[in-house]
Amino acid sequence: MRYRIDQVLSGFAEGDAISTEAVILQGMLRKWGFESEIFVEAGRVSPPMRPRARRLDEYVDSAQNILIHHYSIASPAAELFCRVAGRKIMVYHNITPAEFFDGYDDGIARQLREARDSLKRVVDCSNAVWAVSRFDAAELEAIGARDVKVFPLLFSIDQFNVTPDPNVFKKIAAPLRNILCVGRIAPNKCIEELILAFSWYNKCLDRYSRLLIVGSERTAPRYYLMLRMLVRELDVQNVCFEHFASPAGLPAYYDIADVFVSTSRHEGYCLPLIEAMSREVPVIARNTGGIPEALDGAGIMYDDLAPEELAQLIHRLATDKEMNRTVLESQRRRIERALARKPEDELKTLLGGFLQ
Amino acid sequence: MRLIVANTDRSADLGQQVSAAAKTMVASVPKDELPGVTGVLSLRSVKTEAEYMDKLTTLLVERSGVAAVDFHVPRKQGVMGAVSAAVKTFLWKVLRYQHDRMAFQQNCVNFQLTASVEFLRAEYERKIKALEQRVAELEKKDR
Repeated sequence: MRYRIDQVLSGFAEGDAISTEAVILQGMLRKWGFESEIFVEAGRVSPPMRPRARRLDEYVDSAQNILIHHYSIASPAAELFCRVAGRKIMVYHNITPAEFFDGYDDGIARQLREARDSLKRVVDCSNAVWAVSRFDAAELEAIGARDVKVFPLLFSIDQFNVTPDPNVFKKIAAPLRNILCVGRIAPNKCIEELILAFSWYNKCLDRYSRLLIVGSERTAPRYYLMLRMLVRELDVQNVCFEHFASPAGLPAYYDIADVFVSTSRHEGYCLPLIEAMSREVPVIARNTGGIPEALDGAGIMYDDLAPEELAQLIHRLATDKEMNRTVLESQRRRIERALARKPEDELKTLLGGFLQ
Repeated sequence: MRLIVANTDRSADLGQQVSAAAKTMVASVPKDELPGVTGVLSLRSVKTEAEYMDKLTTLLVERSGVAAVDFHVPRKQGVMGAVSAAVKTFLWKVLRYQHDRMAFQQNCVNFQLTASVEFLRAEYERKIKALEQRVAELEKKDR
């Protein structure tokens, strides 16, 4: 019997970068003729993804099989990964520092601390370790992991081969300048800093502007509440929380955006930056974690900007045609490089020893 | 501050310009209208969910009011911009008669709700404390 290559995940949700990567990997493995399933703890799968996932307790252990685990948080999936007898590959997506979640969600903070404490154990029980960025690889090497291979997060331009949702265009019809932020609404994203900057921008630089915050608020509802209170306290107009965007909604938001801004203080890679660049939206992002690798010389990267300075930078990028052109040109080159990637070849090389 | 634009370090020129423009902008705004002044961000410093809840309740009670004061009507350039701004300002003044009444009612409802949250929280705390005390006494007896 031919061996299988399965994946175990701590959660599985539409629009989540790790889940998307798992689905793309599964597609490649199946194309090569392997049986491949995605196993997730029951209750940690979003309804639209249920048909694609199997329950964690359905996983059948065999010394011949290969199991890939996407590691970013402590979970029963990580425990199963450590326990099974098969050949094991850990894909490291970085662990958000628990301090970000303190007070907002003590449960998640605890899981993140556990993940950090167990990182070495998970690395030690793996036959191979991959990381989605050099930044992540360096973290693993710092705790003694050897031969860490970098396999950047997979980006598929095909995801945008859909007709952008016309309802989004209708909803955001007023001709305002749109500042966009995409990603889960989580404390490490520091969206409050973007709201503060937008407050300056909207009140002092461009009254006819709008901040679009696209992403699920379910990760940290207490943090989301704080953001809503902040908007009210600042009395700033046109801050729109758009919640989770459907696969057709997301390209629509990118298409109406004038500038994409990420104020996140912790990212393992940050896929929305690549998505924004692929839709020709000029990008501004904080220089942190895996972001320099995601941008790879494109867009604008900053360190230590006060909110009012960030507002000025957004204004400059939105109004200075020469600067806008330079940034977009750098981003086009970046996307060309991203699309020139041959993920299947990369995966085959990485799996080389296992496939023989 | 450090600014990298399309792989080129622009901290010295663009960075300085952005910084200077920001300083001018801040100086042009009256102190009591500074957009960055907020107490809500104190929630960032809490360490546990319980602390968050404490602080949140206080913030809710302090900030439950709806303001119906005048606000700056943005104005586009040109004659149409001036006319549009004048119409909006006039409408605002006319509608205040209705706004103020609605804001008053909304403030009453908000106050009732936030006060209820505060009272409920105090009641739960009292009950939990009493239960904890009882459990401790029972445990003492068992030993």
